[in-house]
Amino acid sequence: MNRRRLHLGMLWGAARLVPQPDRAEWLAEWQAELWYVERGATTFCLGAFRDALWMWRNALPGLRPSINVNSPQRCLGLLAVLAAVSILWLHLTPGARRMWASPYADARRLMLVSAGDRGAREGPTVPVERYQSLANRADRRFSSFAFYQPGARRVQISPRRAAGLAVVLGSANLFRVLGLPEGEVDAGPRMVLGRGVWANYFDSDPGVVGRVVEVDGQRAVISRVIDDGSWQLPGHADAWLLEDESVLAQLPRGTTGFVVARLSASAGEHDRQWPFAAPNAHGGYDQYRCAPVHRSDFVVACLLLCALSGLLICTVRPLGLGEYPANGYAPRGLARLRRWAFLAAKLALIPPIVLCGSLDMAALISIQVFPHLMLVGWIAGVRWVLVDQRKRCPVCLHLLTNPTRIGGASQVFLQWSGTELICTHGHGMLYVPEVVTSCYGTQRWQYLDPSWSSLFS
Amino acid sequence: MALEARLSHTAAMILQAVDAGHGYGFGLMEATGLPSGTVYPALRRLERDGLVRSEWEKQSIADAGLRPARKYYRLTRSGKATLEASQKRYPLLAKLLPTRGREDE
Repeated sequence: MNRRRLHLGMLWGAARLVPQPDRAEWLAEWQAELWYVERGATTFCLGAFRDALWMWRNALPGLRPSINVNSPQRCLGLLAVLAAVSILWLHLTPGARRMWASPYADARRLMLVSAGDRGAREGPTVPVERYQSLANRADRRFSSFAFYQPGARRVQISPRRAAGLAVVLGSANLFRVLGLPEGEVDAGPRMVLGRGVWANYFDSDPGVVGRVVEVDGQRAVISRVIDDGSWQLPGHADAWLLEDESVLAQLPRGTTGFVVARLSASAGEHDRQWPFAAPNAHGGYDQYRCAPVHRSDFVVACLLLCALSGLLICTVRPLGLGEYPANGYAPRGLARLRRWAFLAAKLALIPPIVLCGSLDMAALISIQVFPHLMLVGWIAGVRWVLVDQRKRCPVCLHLLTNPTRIGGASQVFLQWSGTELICTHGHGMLYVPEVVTSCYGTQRWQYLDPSWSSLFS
Repeated sequence: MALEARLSHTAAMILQAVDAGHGYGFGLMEATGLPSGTVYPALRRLERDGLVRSEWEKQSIADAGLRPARKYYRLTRSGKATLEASQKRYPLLAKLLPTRGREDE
């Protein structure tokens, strides 16, 4: 998606919070200011929401934009639209999609190999000579191995411009093993650029493929530009320098790096870490660990967060869901079922909104904030569902209106004891106590029998 | 004067930056180093309190500069008085953001 469109869309979305009389001027100012922003435009546009919220809070009550969720149909419709937009956004924006789906082809067959007892994500562990021993050995479990070593390297972009970049030195087959496109270049060292480096150091030059740069004094031909998010392996990378095996063989002995392996079709798929041993040149065996690149713990983490937030909600206080003590006019059968179905439908729509919305937001900000967004979103979402349910008429499920504060005769002693809300369709009144009185300790619903209907018609 | 007593350091800094000639939102962000989510709401607050007033520049000036028209903020008389009081409270303000000419002048 075009980033400028994304930013204009963010401003347009924020403008919905601004009162109608000021909206056009507010939007014009932000759009004009966006023109000056060269870097961090997303963060800049996120600030627009804070500004719009200020406008919303400081507007006169009658001018505040609000969403009408009075009827149950409108409420469910809004939730369905939010869920659909979150899911669509997740599928349409590459940044968000990458967080959900692996960028690598057949990622379940990709493994990270580490030497000894250390985990593959803890740091480079495999010496280059042991990688060559693994790659040259026929092992039916693996179809191919690739080696890479992250590091800071000096890149001479043009005769007058050089930069220190995080360049991954990789074996020639690294991108093939990962299933990423690497571009067509005849022979010799190839350089793949991340989109960020391409934009910042090569001025987004569309003809960059084929250009020659020098990495630590060695010439390399740029073969492709890929999205920064395509790299999800350990080690930061701005660019990738792909070298033939003969060059890797010249690295000093003991130089450690990461090894990626692709499982053969007969080996099946592995979701967990497993050890294996491979013979070495001295007649003995070296111990390795194989860990999946595809992080299946993502789904587990999401479920754990949901469970944790559910527990948090339950431990704060038990919440009534509108099952109030009532008089003899309480609805039965289908009407009661309808109320619980409405609650279930709202609860069912919250997970896709929270999960996809958190992923969408994390794609804009950083993957690190995803668990926090998910936890806060889930707690806020479920809490809203419960609060909304308690604010609705148990019969018609419309929101209760006309809150009226009521109290005892002696205001000095009792002050206001509670608030009464009414269903505008004449089904009843809800009394919400502010202090526990001898009459009411919890909120109470008073059903009105049909004889009251003439007042509400 | 009650108002300057309530003016936070951030608001005083923005007021100082406006007085220094950084008259539009992004210019203020660059001058103060504050994020957009702080600068713009602060400008609204200052305008609501009558310390600054805003005005769109003429489209012909923007067209000549090949850029969108800017919404400029200027100190009101009350804003100048508040800034002077704030400078006594935050003496480094004037050194941090010394007064300069308007960018379009």
